[in-house]
Amino acid sequence: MSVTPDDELLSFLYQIPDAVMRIAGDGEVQQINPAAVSLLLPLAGTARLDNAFDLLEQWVPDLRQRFAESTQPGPVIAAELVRTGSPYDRTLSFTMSRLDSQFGVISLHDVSEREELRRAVGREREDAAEARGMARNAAAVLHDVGNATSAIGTTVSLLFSDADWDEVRILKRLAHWLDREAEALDQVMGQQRAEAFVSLLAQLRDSLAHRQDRVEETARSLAQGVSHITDVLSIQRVSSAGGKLKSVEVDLRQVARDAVSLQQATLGKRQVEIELRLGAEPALVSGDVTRLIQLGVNLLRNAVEAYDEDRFADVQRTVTVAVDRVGNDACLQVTDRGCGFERLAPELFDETVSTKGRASGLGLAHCQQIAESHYGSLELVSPGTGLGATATLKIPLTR
Amino acid sequence: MNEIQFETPDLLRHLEAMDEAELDTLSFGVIRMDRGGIVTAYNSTESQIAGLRREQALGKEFFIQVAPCANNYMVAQRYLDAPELDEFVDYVFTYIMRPTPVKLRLLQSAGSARYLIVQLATA
Repeated sequence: MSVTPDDELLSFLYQIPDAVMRIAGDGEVQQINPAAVSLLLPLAGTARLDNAFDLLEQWVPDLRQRFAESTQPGPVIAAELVRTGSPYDRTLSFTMSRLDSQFGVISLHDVSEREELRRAVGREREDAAEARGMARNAAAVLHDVGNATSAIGTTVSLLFSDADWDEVRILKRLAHWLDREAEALDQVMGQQRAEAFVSLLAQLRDSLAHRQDRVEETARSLAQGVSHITDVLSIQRVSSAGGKLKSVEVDLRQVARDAVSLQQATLGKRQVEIELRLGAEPALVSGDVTRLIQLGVNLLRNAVEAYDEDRFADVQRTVTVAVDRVGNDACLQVTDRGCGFERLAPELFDETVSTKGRASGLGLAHCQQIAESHYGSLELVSPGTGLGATATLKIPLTR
Repeated sequence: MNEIQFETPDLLRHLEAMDEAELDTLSFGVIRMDRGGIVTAYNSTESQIAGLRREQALGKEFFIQVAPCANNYMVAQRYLDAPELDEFVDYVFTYIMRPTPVKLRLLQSAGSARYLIVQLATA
């Protein structure tokens, strides 16, 4: 059977993926291609596609009027987006043209996927912009709160700057002097009055000394709170936009030296001796020097605090800091012989867990966060309570 | 055979027993296809409704070469989705681009041929 030009035209119209209808002036559908049937039947809610205007005016207002008002062949409505809504929600690109004085053509292109993608990209952009804004706000808040906290810390430290209050010291001396001069005072004031005077002065001295104790206790508690806030801020800075790592090649041996030298004052005050064992070969890693020193300082503080309990008062307090290359890693180990622990190591990195009476647990959580941000690991092991502990930091060597 | 109607229950069993001459006596259109969708019978009523000669349809892939207007999830896909099929569907055929409201009945069972039964919808 030969293929006629009509067959070819029909086949062409049948294969067009867009919906096409030829309509009369009143909207009656004269011709319709399969794509139009497939698209419009589910939307029509009826199996009659007799009149395009009746069917489409619910989504394209004034369709009948707009076609009637057009006089010349050509586009009447060009690629207008139409959303059909539920239950069969599609987005269609709608075009209507006048063919001649009697007929027109309507074409519909289903652009639901494209439009959904566009809406999704839009939403994603909005979400990303919102996230960027929130990160900026968070960084700004962290910075401001950090500054305010530093100021509070400085003020609190002033409370400790005077070992003794002048008023208390003077009163103590006065009470002591009056005690020695009791006889002379009796002669001047009479025994009864003198005793009353001395007693009153002693009460004043005791009351003021008690108040001094309370202020110092409050200040200690405040200092602890400030330290806690500082730890929280440090953790948040690492994960906020402002806490990006500034990676350079750094020798972990130098990090250990710097951390020890930064803690020198504390180590001296707490009578802790440092044993530094640094390998002969450089232990080069890629990392943020500030964060790594911060990690080293935290591990040292942790080791020093392990000696805080009274039972270690008369013990030789030693902390060993060792750095070496182990396989493909640079390895930093901090070992103490203090309180130790029985817990499972993973629990220790929980922000709410601490083996020490007054600590918050934030220090180790922070350390682990820094280790992980350097593609490294941090382990803490102890032979048991009272037997000390060893923290091991491993970061991949760069060479 | 005239007692067999578009809505006759058990229509598939009747059709399976009919040859082409018997199919031509029916008052509704019948397209018989094999499992690959190739037209094996096309009765005279369907030929009149569609304006297509029998020989233009026989041996063709029905949903691709004869009636691509039904090659969608509403008709063609139903044969693939349901091995046991007896469904009525209100539809619009586009015979030579003319919108033609029809009632369809989709029939198949395990081991049978596929049948698309067509009746012009009354206004």
